[in-house]
Order: sequence, then C-alpha cells, then structure tokens
Amino acid sequence: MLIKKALYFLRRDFLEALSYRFAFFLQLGGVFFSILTFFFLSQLFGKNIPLLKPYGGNYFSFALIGIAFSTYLGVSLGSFSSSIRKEQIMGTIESILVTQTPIPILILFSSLYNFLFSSLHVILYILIGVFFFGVNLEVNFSAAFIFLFLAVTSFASVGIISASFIMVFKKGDPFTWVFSTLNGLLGGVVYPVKVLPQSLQKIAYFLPTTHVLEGMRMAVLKGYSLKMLVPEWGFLVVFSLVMLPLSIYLFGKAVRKAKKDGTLIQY
Amino acid sequence: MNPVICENVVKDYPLPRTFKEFLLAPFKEKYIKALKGVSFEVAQGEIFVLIGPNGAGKTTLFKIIATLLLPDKGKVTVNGFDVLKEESKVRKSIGYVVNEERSFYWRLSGWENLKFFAVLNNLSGKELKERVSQVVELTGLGDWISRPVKDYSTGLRQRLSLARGLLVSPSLLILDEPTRSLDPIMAKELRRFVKERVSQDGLTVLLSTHNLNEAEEMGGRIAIIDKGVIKKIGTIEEIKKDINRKKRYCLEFSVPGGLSSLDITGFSLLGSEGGKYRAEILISEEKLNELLRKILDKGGKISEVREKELTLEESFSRIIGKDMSNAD
Repeated sequence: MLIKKALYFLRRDFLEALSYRFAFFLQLGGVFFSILTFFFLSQLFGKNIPLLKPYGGNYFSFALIGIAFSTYLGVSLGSFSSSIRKEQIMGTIESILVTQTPIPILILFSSLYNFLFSSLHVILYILIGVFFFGVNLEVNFSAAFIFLFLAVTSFASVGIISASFIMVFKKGDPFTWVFSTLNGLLGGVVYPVKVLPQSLQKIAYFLPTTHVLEGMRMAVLKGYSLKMLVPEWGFLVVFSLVMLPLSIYLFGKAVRKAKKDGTLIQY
Repeated sequence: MNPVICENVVKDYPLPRTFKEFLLAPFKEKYIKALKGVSFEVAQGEIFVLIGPNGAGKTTLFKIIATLLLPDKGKVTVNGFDVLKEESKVRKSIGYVVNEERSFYWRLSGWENLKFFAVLNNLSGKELKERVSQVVELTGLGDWISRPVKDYSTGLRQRLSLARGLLVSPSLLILDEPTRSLDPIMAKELRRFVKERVSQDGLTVLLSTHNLNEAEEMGGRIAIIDKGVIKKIGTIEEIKKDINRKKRYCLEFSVPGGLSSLDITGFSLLGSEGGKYRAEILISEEKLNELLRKILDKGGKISEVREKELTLEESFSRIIGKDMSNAD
C-alpha cells in the first residue's frame, strides 16, 4: 500500500507539473546553461590545479559534481516546507490530513516528486558534462548509490525540521536560512573546503554537505570504494540516525501545535 | 453507543498580541473562546443540524470531530473512538465534506483527484475503481469527472467534495455548510441526496448551516449554537414550542384617538383604512389581553385577533438575540 501511495503522489505531482508544460521543459533547459557557465569559468584555471589534485585536478568536473549533488540539499531544505505551504495555499491540506494516511508519510511522499526531479537534474548534469564537455568519470556505483541515499536522509532531516517551522510560524524559517548559507559557503560546493581558513574548516566538518560532496566526488571521479570513504559515510550515518528521528518528532509536535492553535490551514 | 458523543468540549484560540503586549507580559497569552462547554449526542441514522451565525463555533466543533483540531477540554468520541487517542480509527469511519472549493488539485481531473484521495484512504485495486465509479454515479458527476477540476462550476465542485466524502463508505458524514455557495436548485438537490443516503444507507449525518430553511428541510434534530454555546437542542417543533411563550398575533381594530392613545410599542402596522388598523405584534397572552382591554376601554372595536405561528427564523433570532432576517 505504501508503494502505491508513493506512486500516486508521484503521479499527482507529475501530472500537475506537466500541466505547466513550458515551465517543466524550461527547468530542464536551465541545466545546460548552468553547466555552460562553470565550463567557461573552468577555462580560467587550466587543467591541473594543485588543490584539486585529489579529485583529478580539473575544476570543471569538481564543480559539476558539487552543483549537481548540492541540488539535493536545496530540494531537501525547501521541499518539505514548500509542500506544506503549497497544500496550505491550495486549500488541500485539511483534505489530505483527514485521510487515513499518517502525517509523516504524507510529508515524505509530498516531496518525493521533487527528489525524483532532482535526480533527473543530477543525471542530466552528469550526462551533459560527459558527452558535451568531456568530463572523465571513474564511477564506483555502489559507493555513489550509498552516498546518494545518505545525502537524501541527512538533508531530508534538516528539511523536515524546516517544515516544522513552517507548520508553526508559516514563514521566516531561520533554520533553513542558516543551514543553506553555511552549506553554500563552507560545504565545498564550488571550491574545496581546503581553501577555507582553519577555523572555518572546523565548522565545515560538521556540515553534511561537506561529507556528501567529498564522498560523492571520490566515488564518481576517482572510483573510491566505501572502504576508502569510511569517515565520510560514517559521519552521514550518525548525522542521519540522530537528526531523522529528531526531525520527525519535532514535526509531530509542530502538527500538534498547529492543531491546538487552529492554524493548520493558515499560511 | 451513539456515533457522536461530545461532552463539555472547550476550545480557545490564541490571539495575536501587539508588540507592546508582548513586551509587557511575554508569557501571558490572549485567547478567544470558540467553544464553551459544548455537549450533545447524535444517534445512529440521525440527521443532526448545527445551526448558528458566522463565528458561532460550528466549524470548530466539526474540525474537532474530524480530528483536525484538538479540543482544550472535554471528550469527543466518534463511533466509540476517542478523537484524541484514536485519531486514525476515527478517520476511518467518517466522511468529511468541506465547503472549500480549493480543496482539490484543480489542474487534475475529478477522476484523478478521487483516485488520489481513495488511495490515501487505503483503497486499492478493484475496490478503488469500483468505489470511485460508485461515488461518481451517486453524485451524478457524469462526463465531468474526466475534465480538470478548474473547469468545474461551484456546484460541480461541491458534488465532487461530496463524492470524496463518500469514498470511504463512512458511517458518519460530516458536512460543513455544504450548500453555502450553491444556487437554490443545487442546494435542494444536495439536501435530497443527503436525506436519501440516510434513508437508504443508514448514514448518520452532521450538517452545519446558517440557512434556517435548510435546517428545517433536513428534518432531523437541530442544535442552535451561538458564541460557542449550544442554546437549544431539539426537533424544529420542539424548538418552536419551547420558545413560543410569546406569540405573534394579527389584529384588526379601530380606536378613537388613534394608535398613539394606546401607548404600545413593538408592533408592525400592516395598514389602515377608515380608522381601522391592521397590525402584527409579538406579545405574550397576558399582555395581549391587557391590550385588547385597553382598546375596548377606549371605546374601540376589535374585528379580528388571529394567532400567527412563529417562523423558525423568528424562533432562531429570539434564541440568539439577533435579527436573522438577512441571513440566507
């Protein structure tokens, strides 16, 4: 039944997205131009940058993986809260909450399409990178898959906490703001963490983005196995194990507060 | 056990505070009382109409019963399940029809919408298809069902909402102002449909409205609610009878010196011709006798005294102390 529900959520969101055809295809087209910007930028740096040697030395492939997989962070942070806000604005939130599906499932499945669409983005980023711009990949698929899974669980937990803020305060979620700013700045998306001052590198160590991107780059660009990436996936496992239950607990509390205050449908 | 039991339900909503209030007393919350100890029971197969002006607490009460709101105090059970402790069991047995046109995914067809909500209600496979087809047929959505909801009229969306409420084959159907934005013909059709479901399927219906004629037409018990308090519960006849101590009388009389010589207030003059007055007055029997005596003492003549039954609207207005003559 859960799979069926997941499929129906995907179907609902796909049909809705497809009904705005122009926006749907425009989003996909945007990927190409975003890559193009970084391709031209990489021409400034040449092919062998010492700081990027662990990743093959090429800035373009480094940035490509960073941008591609950081889209998951954006989706995770924004998707849960935006799904709730969307249902509130559309007026459908009470209709789905009065059904027999538990609230955590409703929230998770409401964001499923966004995750899937992001995966399509990631695949497109990599395919365009490989076929149009000659990026060399040495993929360790099992490691890449595990890092993808851990990226989703780590980022999703942060996203669910953000959704809890939206449920109670409706707008102005400081958690997302702080988290996305820190991750964009210190997570190693478009430059390696090593260029940061020592003090900031210490902060970067506690951000999941740092470990997701490090692990993913090594698995996709250098073919590293899971054995060689224990510190990265170890951090993400601990992060997910602590944050995911905490986020679901906080979300449950937020829904209860909204039900108590009568603000479930307010936005 | 009755399908709906509400015992002393209290609900307060927090009110937003001004910045000054927050600074002066950061922990002192302000509340507005939405329900002040509401109690009632609804029997199996009954149509129970909650009637009251806007802001009376009808929707709050329904949302508590539908597990969308938490009561602050009191106990609510639906089909024997506590709304606080057994939310999912409550939701399994109710159909909640909201009067919110935007409660659907407008860019999807009615069919897609119903299938989506059916899956969320744990229907699948053959059962899902059959149930969706059944409710589409029952509500007469016909060919519209394959069109996007954005193309629907208000009436069609209300039918779709009703179809969604019936998806789970509920034993309790909750209808929150279902005819609020319908034209009179559609509203009548919906009332007929609901009454049919009660007589054919044995459904229990909770319906809220501020339309007095609707309450009367549904024919079940009525609870009059105002400012979070249930003022009266009973059948229409019981409610009218209970408050009919004052009655409306039609009088035809003449009096030398004109009406001003009688020194009476609170009557409506319907007409006057050749010194004869026709008037309507809301008055108790004792006061009427006093008035009639006064007319005769002044040398007047009484040609007609006729008792006129109070309308539900008048009864309702008197219970809640407001003029409802402008309510639809």
